[in-house]
Amino acid sequence: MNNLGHILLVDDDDNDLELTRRTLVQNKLANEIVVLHDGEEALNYLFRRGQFNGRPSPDPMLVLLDIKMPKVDGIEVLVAVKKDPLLREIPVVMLTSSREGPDVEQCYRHRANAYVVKPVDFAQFADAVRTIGKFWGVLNERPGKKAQASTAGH
Amino acid sequence: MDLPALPIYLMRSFFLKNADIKFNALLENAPDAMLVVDHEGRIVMVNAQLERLFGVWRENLVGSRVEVLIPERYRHHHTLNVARFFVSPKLRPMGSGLDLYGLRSDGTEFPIEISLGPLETEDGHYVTAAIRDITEHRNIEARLRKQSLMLKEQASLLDIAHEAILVRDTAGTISFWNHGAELMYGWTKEEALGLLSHDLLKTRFPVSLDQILDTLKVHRNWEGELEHTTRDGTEVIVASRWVLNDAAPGQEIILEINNNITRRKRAEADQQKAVQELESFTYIAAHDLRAPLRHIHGFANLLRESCYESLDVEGKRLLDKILGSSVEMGRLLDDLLAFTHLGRAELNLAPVRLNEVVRRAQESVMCDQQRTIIWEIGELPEVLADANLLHQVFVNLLSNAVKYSRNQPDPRIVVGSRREGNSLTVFVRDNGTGFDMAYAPKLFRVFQRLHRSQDFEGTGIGLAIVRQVVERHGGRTWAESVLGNGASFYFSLPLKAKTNE
Repeated sequence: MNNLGHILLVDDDDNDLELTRRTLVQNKLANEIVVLHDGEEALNYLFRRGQFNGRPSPDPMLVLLDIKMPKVDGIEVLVAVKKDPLLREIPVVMLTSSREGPDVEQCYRHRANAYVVKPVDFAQFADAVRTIGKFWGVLNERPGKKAQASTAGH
Repeated sequence: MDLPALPIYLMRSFFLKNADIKFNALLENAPDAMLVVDHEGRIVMVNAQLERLFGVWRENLVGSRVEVLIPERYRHHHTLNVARFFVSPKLRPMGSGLDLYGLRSDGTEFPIEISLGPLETEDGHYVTAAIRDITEHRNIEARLRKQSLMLKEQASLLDIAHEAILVRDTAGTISFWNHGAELMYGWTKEEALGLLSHDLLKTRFPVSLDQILDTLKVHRNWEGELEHTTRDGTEVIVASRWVLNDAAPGQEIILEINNNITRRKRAEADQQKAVQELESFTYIAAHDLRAPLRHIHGFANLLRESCYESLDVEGKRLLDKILGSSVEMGRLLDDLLAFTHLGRAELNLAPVRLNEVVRRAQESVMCDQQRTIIWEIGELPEVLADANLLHQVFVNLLSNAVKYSRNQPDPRIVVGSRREGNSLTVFVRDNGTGFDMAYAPKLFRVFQRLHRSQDFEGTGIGLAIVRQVVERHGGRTWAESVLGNGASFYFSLPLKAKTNE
């Protein structure tokens, strides 16, 4: 699992961040987890501007986005990522506290790769995070990743 | 008629002295009945039309006073008039503004119009009178009067109407404006007539006016909601109905009837707002309450994973209680949300075979049951209902029946139905624990439980959902039981025409 990239985790809730992070780390699903606290930071990071101007690191292999966040919410970040020709290949998984509201339809319309309601039960929650990390971070093949892998093989 | 004998000489002298053949011919052939009277009011000459009109020969008239031709009751008045005419003789219609009547020889009367003219001869002054039968004219007049009275009555009826009723041509010029319109819009009839209605009322249309006029041409009428501004600037919403009338070619008129539905619309908007508020409340309940709950459960779990062994027995017990309670609260929240969702979900009514619904519900209830239960499911009809919601009803009723009969060595569940008038009653009966009938009214309330959750698990939402669904279908729910001797749960569904097929 050494050639695993990093996961970008965006959530305004410290408790949720800690629980999600712990699960990902415990299951060794990423080399590095970059944690950001709102949509604005996420946009700056992904588009390499503001405090992340000239960020040298590669783009994340997976973005986990909370929907309800201050300033810029998760859906706005999703829209910006999926509109950008360079970033749109990155899988974006929406994490949310509830299945209420028009969020699901909205996220799918804007090409979210998955939409996950965080279960109250921690065992289920950990399971969900593990599955997401494993599928999008490890099992799923992407055009960019595949090219990298084949270059490394030569 | 008692007429004096005809003095022949009088007539002769008139003709001799006025032997004008042209005058004679003129008189004889005039379209109107005519006569000539001398200054004493005696008839000296009549024409054929007059004979015909009054049904009397001229021989019987000439020499008589002219009053013989009018009914008795007008004679005195008439005599005065004749005298007055000789004082100032000039052409004039007689008795203008008065109703005049002629008297036929058979005694019948008929309305007439008389024109008088002076006739000067060497002999002296005479008067010519042209008499016209205006019976037909009167009839038409009477008919018109009646019609206009009727129209006036109808118009006043339109004034009683609560609706604003206006008539306008296709260009929009108002030609009728009832009292309802005065009240609704604030402009009086006098102010509104002749103005363009859409300018006056600042009409806002739901679609373009051209589109409405097209519809009107094809279907002769149009219905929709319009927004108007009244004289004092108040905005009103009206349910408007337009009817096109083009009975007279080139004179198309539009009848517009407007019903003020502003209050209803506002109430609907308020209700909409209340529903939205409830939705946002549900959202908060779902989102904001679930997050901290998830954290409690998450961290308690991490505590359990990392430090469980370092806790003493009591510490372990308390930690397990925290975990159990947080899971329980999550379930309550989910149930509450499911219940609120049900109230908002749209009913998709379609013919549903009840036996099929029960079979599916039975499968889903029994999939994790190890026990053997005797099922007796009767022949159930087809009903008009929402299949998914009805499935939920049976899942809840059947799982209750299974749950509360688990202490029964030979559990038996019966499902059946019976028709009662216009409704169908469905029942689910078990031979389980039952409940105390004293608490029956509480059964179908949200989170209401008649058993300790330690004895029978559950949040108490199941029967509330049953009631919610059944009531949304227009039915009701009730239950009967003898404690320790099983329970029967009933619900009714109205049988509409389609459900009998």
